[in-house]
Amino acid sequence: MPVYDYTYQTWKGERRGAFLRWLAMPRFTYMDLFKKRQVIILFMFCCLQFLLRLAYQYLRVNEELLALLKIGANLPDVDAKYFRGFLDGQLFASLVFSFTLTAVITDDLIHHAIVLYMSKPISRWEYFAGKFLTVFLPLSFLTIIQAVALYVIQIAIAPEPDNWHLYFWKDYAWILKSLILYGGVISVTLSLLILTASCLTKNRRYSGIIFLVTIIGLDLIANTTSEILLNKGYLAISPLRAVLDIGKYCFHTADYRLSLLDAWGGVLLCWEICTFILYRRISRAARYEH
Amino acid sequence: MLLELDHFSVAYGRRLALCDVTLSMESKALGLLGPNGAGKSTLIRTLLGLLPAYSGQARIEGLDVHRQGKRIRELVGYMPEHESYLPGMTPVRFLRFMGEMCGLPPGAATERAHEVLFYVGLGEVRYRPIDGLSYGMHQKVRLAQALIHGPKVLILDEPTNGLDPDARKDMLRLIGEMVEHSDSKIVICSHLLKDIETCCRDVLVLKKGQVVASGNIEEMKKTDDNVFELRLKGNVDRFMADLAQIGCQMAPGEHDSYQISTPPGTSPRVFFETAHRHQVQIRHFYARRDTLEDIFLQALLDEENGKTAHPQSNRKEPAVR
Repeated sequence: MPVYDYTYQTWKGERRGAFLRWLAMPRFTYMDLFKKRQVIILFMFCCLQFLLRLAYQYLRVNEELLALLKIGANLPDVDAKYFRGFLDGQLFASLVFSFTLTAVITDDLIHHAIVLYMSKPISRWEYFAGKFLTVFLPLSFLTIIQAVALYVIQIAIAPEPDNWHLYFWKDYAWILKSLILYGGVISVTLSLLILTASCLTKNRRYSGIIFLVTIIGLDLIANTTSEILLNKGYLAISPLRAVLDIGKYCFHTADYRLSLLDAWGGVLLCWEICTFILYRRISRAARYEH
Repeated sequence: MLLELDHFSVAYGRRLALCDVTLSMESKALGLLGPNGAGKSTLIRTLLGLLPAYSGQARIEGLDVHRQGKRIRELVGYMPEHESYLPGMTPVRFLRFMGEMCGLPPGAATERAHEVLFYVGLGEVRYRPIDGLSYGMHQKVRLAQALIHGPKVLILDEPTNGLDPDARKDMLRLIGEMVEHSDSKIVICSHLLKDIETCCRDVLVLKKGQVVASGNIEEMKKTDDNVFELRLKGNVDRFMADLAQIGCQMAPGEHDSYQISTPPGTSPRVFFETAHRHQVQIRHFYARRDTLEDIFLQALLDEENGKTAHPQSNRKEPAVR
């Protein structure tokens, strides 16, 4: 349908469903984001642990190569602790990559673009969902997708008499559920924190600083409060601490500092506060109240 | 029906920005007119669902603002007043993105983005970064994004604000062409009377959150029986002196003409008799009509005196009912 044939013509074609509309948000953001060489290099750097662990898993089952490299056969097992270690590492890799995404809402605030979004047939929640997905997808790639890939590869390459074959259902099957849960908690928490930091300022640099200060500041406050009040429950104030402890519970490793309830309470409170701030800020921006 | 408001109020905190407005209006091109802070932009933003209503009902093209906000935004294209864009994009990518947000398939959105940019006169700059465009071009990009999904109702908030005379003329030409040739209805919100007069057929005058006048512009421009515009040749001084003696008041008008107001009950015949007496030629003579400015000022004055002007209410076929 040409827009003008000597004069203005309206669009009379079919429209796509509501779900496909806000999916355009992450798509266009990635097209811009991954045009920058620095972002690609940083992303590759964040995938480095995955590549190293992949190499390790391959090396561990390859006896000829081990003999060639003169490495002893007593390499640590690929078990729950191994996968938790991977996700703990990826939590920090995700933190580093998060800095490339801290301006997703800031840019909209600076240039009054939220009004444009809201004048289109999408709701505030769909705008929020679009922005959330923009941040969540790369973070979940760095955590859930890579962890699951390592898990699947381990199943595939484990030699026949290995524990992975003998005791799979007893000792290893549950790891998949934990990988998804822990990876999901990391990705959701970081995504919400990034978006919240992003919506609190109209300066691109400050949004990164706010994100960093929130993570480090809350950790310091949590540590200090729990030491002064001699109550470990206050450590749940720190989202980082709460997420790490949820990881420990997920993989049944016994070095927790928080109870399961406190850890989940801290994480859920963080999600709730972030969502509340985001909704208020987006609503205010849509009303031109900056 | 383009716009239906029923005891409609909008508040910013405790301050009412629109106060108990009730009206029903159909128009091809409606101008929302009013001084700054009158509630024009508030009305538009509430109709789009950007602001919550305080009380009452509002409908645009028969759709309820509270319940059918998304459907309304599918039908409406909105050009915001302030500079709004996504940095780092080219106009064509920005429009494609906006098109996809409106539900256009990616291919159609791309095609239409190019066409809309050519239509608004930005075809040559469609691959330049949007951040580097001039203010006038930004204004056109904003108009283009409002047009991308082919809206049935186009709402333009101060479309000529901050434009130089050429860009303003160009913008008004575009809007005028859409009014003439498209099947879209257009609502223009402005405090510039000339823009409304150029582009709109109907007008809604707001002041302090209330409607003070509404109706068809041409029908509102009533003829003033006592004011005439004359262009003369000959001994003008003696002619004027004679008219002054019978109580006429003279003022210089445009293009060497005179605006003469006669006392009530005086026939215009007096001009021709006096001219005949002093051998003066009347080269141009017409009874003066109100301009939109007169209507606007009168409406504001009436509102201050406690009466609301709805000149259409007693017309034969009103645009406003």
